[in-house]
Amino acid sequence: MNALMNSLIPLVVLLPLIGAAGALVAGRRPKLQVTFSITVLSLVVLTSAVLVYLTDQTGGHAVTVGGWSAPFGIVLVVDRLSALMLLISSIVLLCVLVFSVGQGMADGDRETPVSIYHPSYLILAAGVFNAFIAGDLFNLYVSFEILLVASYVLLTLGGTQARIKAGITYIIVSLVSSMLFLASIAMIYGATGTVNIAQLSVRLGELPADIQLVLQIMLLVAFGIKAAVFPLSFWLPDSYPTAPAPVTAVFAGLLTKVGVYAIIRTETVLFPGNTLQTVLLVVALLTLVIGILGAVAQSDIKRMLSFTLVSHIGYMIFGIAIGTVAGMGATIYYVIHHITVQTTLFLATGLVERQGGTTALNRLGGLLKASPVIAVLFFIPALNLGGIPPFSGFIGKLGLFEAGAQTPSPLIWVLIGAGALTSLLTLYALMRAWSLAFWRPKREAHEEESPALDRIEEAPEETSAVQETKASPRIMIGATVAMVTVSVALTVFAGPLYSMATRAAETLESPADYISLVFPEGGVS
Amino acid sequence: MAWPLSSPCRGAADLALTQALVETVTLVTFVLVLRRLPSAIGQDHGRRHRIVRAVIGVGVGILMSVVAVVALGSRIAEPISLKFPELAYEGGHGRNVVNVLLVDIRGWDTLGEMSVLVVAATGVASLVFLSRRSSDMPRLGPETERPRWFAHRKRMAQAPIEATASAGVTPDGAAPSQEKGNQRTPWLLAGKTLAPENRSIILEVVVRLLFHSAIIVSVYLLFAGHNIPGGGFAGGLVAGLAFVARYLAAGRFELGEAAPIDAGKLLGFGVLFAGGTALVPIFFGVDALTSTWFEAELPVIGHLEFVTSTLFDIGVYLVVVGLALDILRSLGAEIDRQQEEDHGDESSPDDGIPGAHKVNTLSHTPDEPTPDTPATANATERSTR
Amino acid sequence: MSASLVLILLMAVLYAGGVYLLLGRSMTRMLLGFLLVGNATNLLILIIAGPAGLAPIVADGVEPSEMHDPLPEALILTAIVITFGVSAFLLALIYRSWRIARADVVTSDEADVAVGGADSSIDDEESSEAEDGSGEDTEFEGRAEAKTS
Repeated sequence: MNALMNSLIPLVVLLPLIGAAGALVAGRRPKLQVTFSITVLSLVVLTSAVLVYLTDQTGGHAVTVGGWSAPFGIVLVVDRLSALMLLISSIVLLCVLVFSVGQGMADGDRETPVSIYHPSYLILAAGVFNAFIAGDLFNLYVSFEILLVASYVLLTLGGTQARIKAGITYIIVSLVSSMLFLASIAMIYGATGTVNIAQLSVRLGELPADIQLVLQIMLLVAFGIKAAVFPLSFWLPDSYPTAPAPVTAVFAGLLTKVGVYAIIRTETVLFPGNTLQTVLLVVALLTLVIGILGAVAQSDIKRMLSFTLVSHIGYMIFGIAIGTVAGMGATIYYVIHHITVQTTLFLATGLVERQGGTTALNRLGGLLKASPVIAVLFFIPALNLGGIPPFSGFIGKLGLFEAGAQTPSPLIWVLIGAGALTSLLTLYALMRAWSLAFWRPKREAHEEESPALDRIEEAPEETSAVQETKASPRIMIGATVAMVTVSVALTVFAGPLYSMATRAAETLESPADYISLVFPEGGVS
Repeated sequence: MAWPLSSPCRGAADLALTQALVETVTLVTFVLVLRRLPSAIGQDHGRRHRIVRAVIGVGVGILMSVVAVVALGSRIAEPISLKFPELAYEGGHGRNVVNVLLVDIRGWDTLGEMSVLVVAATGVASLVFLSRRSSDMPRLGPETERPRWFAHRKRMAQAPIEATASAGVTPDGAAPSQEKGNQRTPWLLAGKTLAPENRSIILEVVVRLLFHSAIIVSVYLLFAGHNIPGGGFAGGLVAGLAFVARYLAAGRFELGEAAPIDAGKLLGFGVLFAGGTALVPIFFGVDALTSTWFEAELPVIGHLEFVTSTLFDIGVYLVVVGLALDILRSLGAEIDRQQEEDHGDESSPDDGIPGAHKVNTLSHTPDEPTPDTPATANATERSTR
Repeated sequence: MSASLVLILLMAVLYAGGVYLLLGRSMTRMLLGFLLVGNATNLLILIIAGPAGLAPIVADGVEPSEMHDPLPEALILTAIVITFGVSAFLLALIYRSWRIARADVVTSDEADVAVGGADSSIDDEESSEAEDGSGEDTEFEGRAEAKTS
């Protein structure tokens, strides 16, 4: 079985890379490019599904790339957490790709020029997958660079003014984060003489506590920027909403979660012991509350969703800060839920934008009559994100609150309260958006400009500009339906999934499990 | 930028070589873009007070130094790298430890780094061409069109195109030198497309003489890199610089003559090569990217060693050359073309998607209705003679 | 373990200059700042590589402990190439943003425009071709002014 894992694990990165190469070589044949991309990502979904099954049996596996044994070469490590992240992210990437293919075909590739879009998208995918399996700190940095540079390209696609402006903010912030990460790696190598994560887990523990703390904070700040944790989240609502709908969807769903994943690894493998619990709890609290207050004040669906995205990162930080198996398990489940639902909502918003010509709430209206399908496709994930039982959002939040209640402290109770409030406000913001865009008759939207909406912050020009309304091709609707189905499946199969998330959390409880994957014979120092 | 000076004494030859080359290419790219931008571009518009910024900057500098010293001072174990020389020689069959690290031991990082380069090149093309990734390199068309371009360029005599090549040439020199320009043997084919005052015969001759040697050096660096300083990156950068020289000496059409390949394809093949080297071992039941080693006694050539990681390095080489060509093609040639378009047709607003639909028409310039003023018509006549 | 004081000072200066430039609002300055910070970080990796040594090329009679640590060298090589790719992209972005806005101010307010205008008029005087529109730089500047005012 190990031989099988040995071959499968590198494939999740190599397949998209070779697909990207193929897409570049086939630069002038869009159909071929589309075929390449979809085939490659479907294969990755299959591979990840097999990996999830196998890791759940064996607990995980580490591949030594090039046959160079750890800690000298680079290891790729897949444990239950990595496998779950691989599976969900590959499914999301595939669905969004199909959605964008539908959009590209309908719009004559104006929005998503196929010869740039496909290679960049596949390389982004390779970067995301590599980040989930990197067992080497420097390799993790390289993965981040891959996905970041690809995201710069995708964000500035088409080179319009709004996108360039948003791109500049995003790029500068990301560059700072990358430099901080690289500097941390340098410091860590200076202190320990290694970059292998499993070996670092042992060696970092032997460092003096104050140096450990400095290194830990540097890494957390670098990852915190990527995960958009308050106060490092200011850039997100300004940059994501300007990109083409599928790009925003995949950024919102996946990229911040790569940061969260890195924080989980930092807190469980590199610096176990939860020394920064109070700090993380305060950060989680602020992220939750400030994010959702921003969301309620938005008049544009995309911006509103971006603020809820930031806000809900707070739940994940909360779970990490709790630090118990229950807390971590709930976090993992919540990450999976959030990747799916947030992406689905952005895809549905893309459909709204096509149908209504805008995402500005004061201009939309009457969409329920015009396209009941989109109304349903927006409604289900909206309820889900808002935490209505029995959806996965509810299960995840409940799990978090229960885990918090098991290790009670005043701050944790405050956070549980804030979490519940955030959930309600999310529901309010989403339902308001839904009722304005879908329920309200069309003419009302034009006749009376709601005073409440006038007062709130002006949306950026680009996102609120009314474009011509277009019918949505079946492929786009189909891809969105697929995502909604996946999100509902998270609820239907919540039992086995949640127990697997808990098992994943159990392997994270002590770094010993991770170390024994990389050094099966032990003897690491 | 600061660091090639200090590197030789630290025993980092590969690093010094690559850094010097990378900084050169960065500088060229910088100049390619900045020559088009207004001189006020670097103005400080910062709203935050300068002193505040300076204090933050100095604070960061001090903080980083302190943490670096402390982190280094608390080193607790021998670095893993002490084993690398042995591993590199025994397992990687190369004497140059850094190169073996890059293409073999840490080849997975290099694969990732190549994807960064590929996607960055794609992004550059995306921002300059806006709606297409692949397009033809601008090439010289049939013989008859050259005078037209020549005339066109002459009309906008002040344009600082090929600024590097034309340093010191005054606009006044245009008329007399023009006649001479046409009698010259073309050292570089596309040199004719330049306005005479922008040409430098010395540069053309030197580039013509150096180009092929530079390509051979780059290939040598590529293959020698396993044992002495060099490798795919350094080699690719040298080749890239050779193309830079061709472009600077004779303008954008020379680029198409020098490398009539689609940069996108080159990037794609590079990743295919490297990705393939990583993928194939899986089918033989070993870990991805595992290198194999062949040794043979050949007649004439003698003892020959070949490590499959060299194939990986060839992929790196291709990607770097592809990136260099892509930069020249977009930030060099296409910007030139957009600039000419702006000058040729002042009335048309160029904020939209210029060049997106016109980029392929470069080699069909005669078909394009160029507004010919009497003056340029004369010039055309004279130059065809 | 000892580290070279010169290198540490150099790194501190690069970081200070880089951060100072990054905090500016002009894109070209940010790019220069990024390059400085990138080089400072590479220098940091070099510093933590420990004392100088022989080139890491396997030869007879050279012990691994005498060599300069090869791993940080490989890491720096990877990092500089990534920095190069990113800066090429940033340059394309600067060009694109200039073509759109004819100015590289991230967010321009009236004061910024006024400053830009004042300086460009100085440029106009310097280059005598400004009037007939053949000096490109100044010409575009003029356009930028016309657009923003």
